[in-house]
Amino acid sequence: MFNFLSVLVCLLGSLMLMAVAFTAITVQKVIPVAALNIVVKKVPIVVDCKEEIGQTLDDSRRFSLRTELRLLLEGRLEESDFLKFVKQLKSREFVFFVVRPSGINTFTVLKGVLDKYNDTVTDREVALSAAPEAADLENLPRPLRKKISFRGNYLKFLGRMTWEEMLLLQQLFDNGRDRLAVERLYHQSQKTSLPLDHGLEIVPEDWTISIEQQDQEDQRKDGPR
Amino acid sequence: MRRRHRRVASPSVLGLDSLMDVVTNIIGALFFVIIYVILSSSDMRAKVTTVVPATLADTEPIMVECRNNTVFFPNNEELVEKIREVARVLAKQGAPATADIVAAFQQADIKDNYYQVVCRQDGDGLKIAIEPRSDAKGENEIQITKEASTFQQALKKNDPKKHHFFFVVREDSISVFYIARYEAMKKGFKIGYHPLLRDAAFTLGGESMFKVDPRRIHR
Repeated sequence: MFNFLSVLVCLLGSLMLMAVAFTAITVQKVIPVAALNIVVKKVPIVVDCKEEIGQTLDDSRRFSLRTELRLLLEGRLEESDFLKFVKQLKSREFVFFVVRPSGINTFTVLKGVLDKYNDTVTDREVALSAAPEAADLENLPRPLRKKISFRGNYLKFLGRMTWEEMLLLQQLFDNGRDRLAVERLYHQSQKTSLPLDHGLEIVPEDWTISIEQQDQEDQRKDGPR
Repeated sequence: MRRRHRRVASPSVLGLDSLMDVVTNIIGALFFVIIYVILSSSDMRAKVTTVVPATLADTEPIMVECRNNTVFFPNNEELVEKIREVARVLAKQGAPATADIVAAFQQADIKDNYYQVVCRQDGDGLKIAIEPRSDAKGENEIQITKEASTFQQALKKNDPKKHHFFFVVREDSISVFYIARYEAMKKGFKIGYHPLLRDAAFTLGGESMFKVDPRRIHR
């Protein structure tokens, strides 16, 4: 009887140890991601990039890597399902990519579609009193120089202008009128291009993703989606 | 006269029976706990709370790479400078043939602990790529948490107000990336990251279709 009891108690002890060990491993896996606890005002729309598919969390939309890559390479962005999907998002929504190891190519292509659209499809121009000197343009950073061009005294900007780029461009001009024109161009580029902001999280293949919306008030204001 | 025997159970036996009940019940419950924990850890639910869109940082990026489940600091600028040196020497020879250029790069054997420069004939032209070395090893998950590690020293040496860390995360190194990111955030650094395939190389010349901007941070 006592022997049997000691076997049972030993078994109990080992099982408790196993339970503690497994729980510790589980908790350790979650901590690094859960630690990034930030309150936000925007609503993330998750696109889970796995293998050759990018899909929304509720699986209502699916984007194929092959189709999107073909359209991207052929420059037929207007036919892209992903671009249509992003265009119909509300102003307070943004794309949040969840990238699995098998979905890196899918993520690269989907993000490439957004970047390409912003870089090539949208451009705007404003009239200036005079084009700046060529020497002044030399001082601009090379990526910015690639985005601007002049047609007479019209300044043309390709893509979405950042605030820093606007400030750099304004430094080219002495008079206030031209500086205001550059600011107008900045606001135009914000309206005509897609927001470049996107969220990104890299997760292991077998993790299930759930978005914990922390800003309850903002979600209520937006209404049910 | 018949003697009446009263059956009196030994108090010690009674105590053991109830104890056995309790012990076996606990063992049963623990079995369930273990089965539940194993099942839930195999289908892990990650709380994704990084729902702030990426923005541009006003601090200088420090590039960190996570590959072979280790962390290291690549220095590709040094490799690019060495490529330029070879190109300068070749330019002095006038217009060298493609085979001569490939041979010159082979002879120069430009590499460091993490990357190697490869020059190949690609159709009619040349392709110069900085390819990841398969034997590259940095610091592993345990080492990066230790004070003496290069990673911790980099966290100590740099100022969160002047620098941020930008991680290039290869597909095989997500777990070490989580720990490195956690350590860096603990010290107050802003973080940016980008996933990359295990063998993806950096090619020179021509415009890349896809962009990685090390100034982008994810808060």
